Amino acid sequence: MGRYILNRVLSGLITLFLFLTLLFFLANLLIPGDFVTSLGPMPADAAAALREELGLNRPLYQQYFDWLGSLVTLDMGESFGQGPVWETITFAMAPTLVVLTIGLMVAFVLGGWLGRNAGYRKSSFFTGSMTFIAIVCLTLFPPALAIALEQGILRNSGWSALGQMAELDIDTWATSPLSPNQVLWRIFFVFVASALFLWLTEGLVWKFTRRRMPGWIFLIAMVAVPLLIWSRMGIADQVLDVAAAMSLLIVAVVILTFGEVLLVTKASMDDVMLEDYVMVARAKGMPESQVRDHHAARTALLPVLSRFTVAIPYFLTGLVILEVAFGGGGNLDIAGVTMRFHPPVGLGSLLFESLSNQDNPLLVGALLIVGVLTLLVRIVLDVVHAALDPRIRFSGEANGD
Amino acid sequence: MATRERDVGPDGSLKTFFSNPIAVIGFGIILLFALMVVIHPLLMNTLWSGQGDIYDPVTGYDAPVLEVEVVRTVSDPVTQVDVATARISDITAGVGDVIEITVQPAPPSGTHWFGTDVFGRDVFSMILAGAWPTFMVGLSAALVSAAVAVVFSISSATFRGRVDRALSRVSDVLLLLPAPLAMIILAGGTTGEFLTPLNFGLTYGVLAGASTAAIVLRSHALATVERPFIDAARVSGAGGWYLARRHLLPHMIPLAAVTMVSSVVGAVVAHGFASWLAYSDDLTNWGAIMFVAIGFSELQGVFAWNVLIAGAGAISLFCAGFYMASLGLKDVAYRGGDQQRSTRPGWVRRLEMRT
Repeated sequence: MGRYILNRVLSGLITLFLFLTLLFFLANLLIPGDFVTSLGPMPADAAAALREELGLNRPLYQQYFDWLGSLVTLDMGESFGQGPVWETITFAMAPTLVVLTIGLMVAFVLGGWLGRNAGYRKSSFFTGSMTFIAIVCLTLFPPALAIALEQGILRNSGWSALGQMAELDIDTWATSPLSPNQVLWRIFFVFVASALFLWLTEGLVWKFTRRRMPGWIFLIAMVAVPLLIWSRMGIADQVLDVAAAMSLLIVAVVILTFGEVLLVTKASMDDVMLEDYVMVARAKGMPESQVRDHHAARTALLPVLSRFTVAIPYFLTGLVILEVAFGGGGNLDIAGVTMRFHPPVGLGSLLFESLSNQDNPLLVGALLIVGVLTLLVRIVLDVVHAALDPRIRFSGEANGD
Repeated sequence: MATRERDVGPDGSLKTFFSNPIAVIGFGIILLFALMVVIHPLLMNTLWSGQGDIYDPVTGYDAPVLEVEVVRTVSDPVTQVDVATARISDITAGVGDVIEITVQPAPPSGTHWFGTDVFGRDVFSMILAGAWPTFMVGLSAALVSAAVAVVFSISSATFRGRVDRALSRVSDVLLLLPAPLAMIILAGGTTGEFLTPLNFGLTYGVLAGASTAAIVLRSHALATVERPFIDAARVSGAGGWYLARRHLLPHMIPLAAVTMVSSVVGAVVAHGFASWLAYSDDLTNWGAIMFVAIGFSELQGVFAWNVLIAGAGAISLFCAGFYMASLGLKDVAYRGGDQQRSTRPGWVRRLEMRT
C-alpha cells in the first residue's frame, strides 16, 4: 500500500509539472493582449515603462523559469491589482473548499443512499421517480438554479443572510478573535479530520468486533464530532454564522451533483445484484438489508469512486459557475426584490475577476489551484479505491483511472 | 468470433436502445429540438412573415399597450401606475392622467407563447432560433471528442509501453484543466470573436476528448485487448493497424457513443454560461437571451422571469435529452454486450464497467 501511494504521488508530481508548463504558455500565448492593454489606450512610452516595471517585456522563456522557481517557495508573484497572488488565492480558497467538501460529501451520501435503494428495488415507482429527479437535477442550468434559489428563498423566507459573506452578523464577529476566513479554514480542517477519524474508527471496530457500524451512527457522528470540536475551540457561533452564509451555495452544489452519484450507483447496483455471491448470500438466508448494504452496495461503490475521479474537475467547474452566478457586484433592486450580490469571495469569483481584468498572474494562480485541488482529490480517491479494491493495489499500475 | 462481431452489430444495438424507456424519451426530446431547427425558418417565411416582422428573433418588436391611470400611490397595479414609472414612457405625465404604457417583458399570451423579452421580442421565436447554434456546439464537440478519444485509446492499447504512458500523461494533465472551465476562460479571453458556435464545439471536443473521454475509453480498450479473440487474430498474423481497425474499433464504438453524448451536455452548458456572461457575439443563443433579459432588467425595473425560465428550460431539456439517450447507449455498450459474454467472470465485467 505504501508503495502504491508513493508511486501515485510521484506520478502526480510529474503531471503537475507538465500542467504548470501548459498553463503558463496557454495563459501567455493564447489570450491576446496583456494587463497593460487591458487598461485601455495609453501613450507608447508609458505602456513600455509599465511593462518594464511589471517584467512583461522579458522573453517568455525567462518569465517562465522565473515563475517556476518562485513557485517552489509558494511565491506566485504579485497580482497586478490585488497584492500577492498566493495570499489572495488562499483567502479565496477557504469558502470554495468548505463548500466543495461539505457539498460533495452530502451529495455522495445522499446520492449513494438513494441510488442504492433505487438500484435494489427494480422497476418500482420509487426507482422511476428517483431516476427522473436525478436527471432533472443533473441537467439544471447552474446560473438559473442560483437565481431561482436566491429569489425563491429571499422572497419566501425573509432570511437575507443566505449565500453571501457580506451578510455576516456583525455582533457575532465584533467580539470574535478570528476573521471569517480563519474560521472557514478551521471548519474545513476539522471537518476533514473528523471524517478521517470516523473512517479509521469504523475500520478498527470492524477489525476487533467483526461488526459494521450502522450508517445512521456514522451520520450523527459526522455532525456531532465537528460541532463538539468547534464549540471546544470556542468558535461555534461564528461557525454557524458562516455556515448559514454558505448554505445556499452548498445546497446548490448538492442539487447539481447528487443526481450523477445516484445514477451511477443505481447502474452499478443493477449489475452487482446479478453476481453469484449476492445469490449465495441470499441462499444462506441473510436478511435482505444485509445483502443489500454489505454484499451488494460495497462492491457497487467502486465504479462510483472511479466515476468521481473523472468527474471532480466538472464538479469544481460547476461550483465556479455557481459562485459567479451568485456573485456579481453591488445591490440590485428589481421590482421591489433586492438581489444582493456579495463581493468576490470564492475561487470562482476570483477567476472571473482576474479574467476580466486580464490579471494574468492571478488568473494562472487561480487555475493552478483548481488543477492542484483536482489532482489532490484524484490521488486521495485513487488511494481510497486501492484500499477498497485489492486488484488495483496488486496490478502494479500507478496510473489508476 | 464471427458470431460476436455480428451480435454487436446495429440490429441488436437498436433493439437494446429502444427497449429502455428513458432512452426513448431522450431520443424524442432530441427529435423535438431537431424539429425546432427545421420549423423556425419555415415559420419565419410563412406564418410569421406578414406581420411587420414582430417575430424576428433579433430585430422583432411587439409590446402589448395598456391604458393606465397615473396616481400618487398605487393600489391596483393592473390599472394604475405611479408618477415616476409613468414618466419613463411619457415625460409629461402627471397625477390623474390616463396614459398608454407598453408592457415589456410581456407575460405569455396567444400571440407570444413564451411572452416577450425586455426589448419586446418574441421569446418563443428566439428559443426556436437558438436551437441551431446549440446543435452546432453540441454535435461538433461530440464528434471531435469521440474521434480524439478513440484515436488516443486505440493507440494506447495497440502500441502499449511508451506511447500508452505518454498519451495517458497527456490525458492526466488535461484533466486538471476542465474543458468547460477552459472554454469559458478562452471565450472571455478572446471576447467572442474566435469562438463561433462551431469553433467552440471543436475546441471543447479536443479538450474533453483528450482528457475525460480518453481516460474512459482507454481502460475499455486495454480490457478489450486482453481478450482471447485478439490473441487469436495476432496468432493468425494480424498486424497492429489491422487489429486496431478490424477488431478494436468495433468494440470501442458503443462506449465512444456514450462519451460523445456526455460531451454534448458539457459543451452546451459551457457555451450557455459563456453566453450568459456575454462572452459571445451570438445574439440568438439561449445563454445570450438570458444575459440580455437579466442585464437589462436593471434598467427596466422588471425581472424577465419568462425569458429566464424559457432559456434555462431549453438548455436543461436539451441536455436532458442527450443525457437520457446516453443511458440507452450505455445499455448497448455494456449490458447488450454482456449477454453474449456471460461466460466471463463478474469481476472482469466490472473492470470493464469502470468508467
